[in-house]
Amino acid sequence: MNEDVSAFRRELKENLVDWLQLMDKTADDIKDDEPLFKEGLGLDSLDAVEIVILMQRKYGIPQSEVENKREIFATFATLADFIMANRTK
Amino acid sequence: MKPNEPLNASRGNRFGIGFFRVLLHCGGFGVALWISRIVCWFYARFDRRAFAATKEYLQLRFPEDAASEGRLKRHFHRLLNELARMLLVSYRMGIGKALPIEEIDRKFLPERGGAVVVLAHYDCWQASMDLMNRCSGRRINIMARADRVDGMNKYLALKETSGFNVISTEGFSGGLVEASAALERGEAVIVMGDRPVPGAATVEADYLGGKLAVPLSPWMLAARNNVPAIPVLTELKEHPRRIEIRYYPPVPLPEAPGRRLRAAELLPAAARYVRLLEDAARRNPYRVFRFGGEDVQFTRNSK
Repeated sequence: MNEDVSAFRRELKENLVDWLQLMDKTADDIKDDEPLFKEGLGLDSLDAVEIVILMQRKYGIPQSEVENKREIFATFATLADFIMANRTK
Repeated sequence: MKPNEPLNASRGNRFGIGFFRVLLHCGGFGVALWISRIVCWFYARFDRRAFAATKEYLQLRFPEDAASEGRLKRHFHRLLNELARMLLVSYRMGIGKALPIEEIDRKFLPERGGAVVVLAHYDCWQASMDLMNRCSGRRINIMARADRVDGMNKYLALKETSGFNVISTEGFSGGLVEASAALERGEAVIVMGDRPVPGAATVEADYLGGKLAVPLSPWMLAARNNVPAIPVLTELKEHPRRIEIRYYPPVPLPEAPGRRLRAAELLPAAARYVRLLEDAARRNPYRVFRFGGEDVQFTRNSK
């Protein structure tokens, strides 16, 4: 993994912890290949919307870009790759 | 029948619905209503699961009868009769014999832009969806459990209309990502505000001396997308017989911060909505069609 990807993932993890108010987690607790929902990081349906809003506000990705693309939310790595490829800011 | 199968999965089959549609067409509303009374008597007498699912609401609404199984069953029977009447009204609309519709305070629903329309399983609630399909120029998205989409199609004839889109609440986001995107595009999203889908985030608000768990999603979606959340209740009125669709003022929502919205921040909005539901239950106690039970929706205050 190159340095840009690594740095971006680190930043995104910190943003997720901060935005989702994951009080008992730090960026280091989020594993790249861990599922985001249910048995993984334990996020719920409202968190899914919060992530979409975070993507919109911080990375300039319209909500319609992620609509019906469940695969993006499979793991942290899939989410990070999608944001990195589609960010406009 | 599977233990967790929703009640409507095994009640109201295609044959029965078709039968009543033919009856409505040939015999008229009065005859269909009379025949439905026989069916309702059967369900009131033998459908223990439906009774159990309704019992908690009836106990809250009729506390003086809460300890008497016989009195609760009489209330249950009346509720089933009203349910059948409301279904017949919606079937009747489906065969082009709609009742006059009177809209009250439509001004609360903006003509353009995104809006969350919050409905409840109360009275002839299906009629409000039909009306919005005819009167609104924007696309209408309805959130519904995947296992109930067929049921919605049966009752609402959605396949015959083009302005509707059903968003399944199945999956990791419960359809909320799709609903949020629809609001961003300036579309309307219809959410049932009185009954959470299994696994949905809920908040409890005071209701008829007990507590009612309602979904957070309507208020969260509206707050996050900076669009109004408009409660809508539909009632069948007599003299003259008509359907009254009443729009309520937008429910005040919290400012959306640069972090996740907490349940406590959305509670005032949910509580305000539950007060509307409480008023409706007092007005028409037999037209509250929540059918709790499997979703664990009511709790009684211990005090």
